Amino acid sequence: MPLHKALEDESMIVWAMNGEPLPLLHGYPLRMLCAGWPASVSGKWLTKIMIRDRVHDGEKMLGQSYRVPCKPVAPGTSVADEDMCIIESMPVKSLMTYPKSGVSHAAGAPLDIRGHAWAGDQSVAEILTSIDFGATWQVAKIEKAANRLAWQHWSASVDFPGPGYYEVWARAVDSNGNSQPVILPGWNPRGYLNNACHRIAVGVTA
Amino acid sequence: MKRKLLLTALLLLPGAALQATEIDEATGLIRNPGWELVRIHCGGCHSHATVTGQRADRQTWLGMIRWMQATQNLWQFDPATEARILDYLADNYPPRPNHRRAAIPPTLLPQPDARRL
Repeated sequence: MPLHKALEDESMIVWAMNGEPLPLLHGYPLRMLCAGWPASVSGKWLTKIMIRDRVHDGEKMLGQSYRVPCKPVAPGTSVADEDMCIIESMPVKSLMTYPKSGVSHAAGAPLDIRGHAWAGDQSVAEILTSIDFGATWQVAKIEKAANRLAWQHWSASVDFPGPGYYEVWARAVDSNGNSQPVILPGWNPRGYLNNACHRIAVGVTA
Repeated sequence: MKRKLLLTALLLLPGAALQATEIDEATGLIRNPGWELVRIHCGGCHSHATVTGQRADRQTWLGMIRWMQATQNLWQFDPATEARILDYLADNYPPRPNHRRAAIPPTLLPQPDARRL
């Protein structure tokens, strides 16, 4: 990763999690953790750190890996390696972690929704929900992050006009004004950076 | 009349295709000719999900094989074996024609009773 990212206060060498030694699956005994960027800069089972005068040229980091086309391309385009750029800060994204898609909900009472949102090197400024396929959006409640680059928790109380089939869509907006798209954004050869808004289906019963 | 026939044919197609596609329980691979070659030559080193989770044309699949041979210690194939592996991959895991976002899948929809309003 570039030095400016490595030198951030939030770029860490980690040996413990939740007061316990780091579990093996999480990279025991040491791992890097550079939040907001692709996992390729949060390597596990760390044994050494190298400061180099060139872009990473190690195994599985070359060619099309962790890269997207420097310029937008049509779906299915074959892109030469030299026209691919390394991904840095990840785009804004959010998830609904409750309820699960397919839930039945009795009409008359609002449905409580909750989830998390994050935004690469930015913070999440706003989160909105829609129950009419994006025609109208309602502002949800977003909490401040515990630390810079940490997940932000959010919640909403969603009203339905009556029984029927609904989808709840959630769309976060970062502190630079960038929103999650509703459809799949920017096709790229390896399928990276899909931050399309999360959707859950809700059957509202009489 | 012609349109009606065509419509009937279209309605029948997905069911027919579904019946023809048998998935191997242990590996998740589609059991069409050549699948055992892929099980043997690919599954020894990585999960079969690395295969089934990707879509590519024949040339791109060949590119992945060449990359694994150049950098990941994948052995060389005799030409006939390589052709059969590529036939299988290109036929069963081709690029999806539609790159746009699909509807929420049926498994994540409300159960039928909830939909009967």
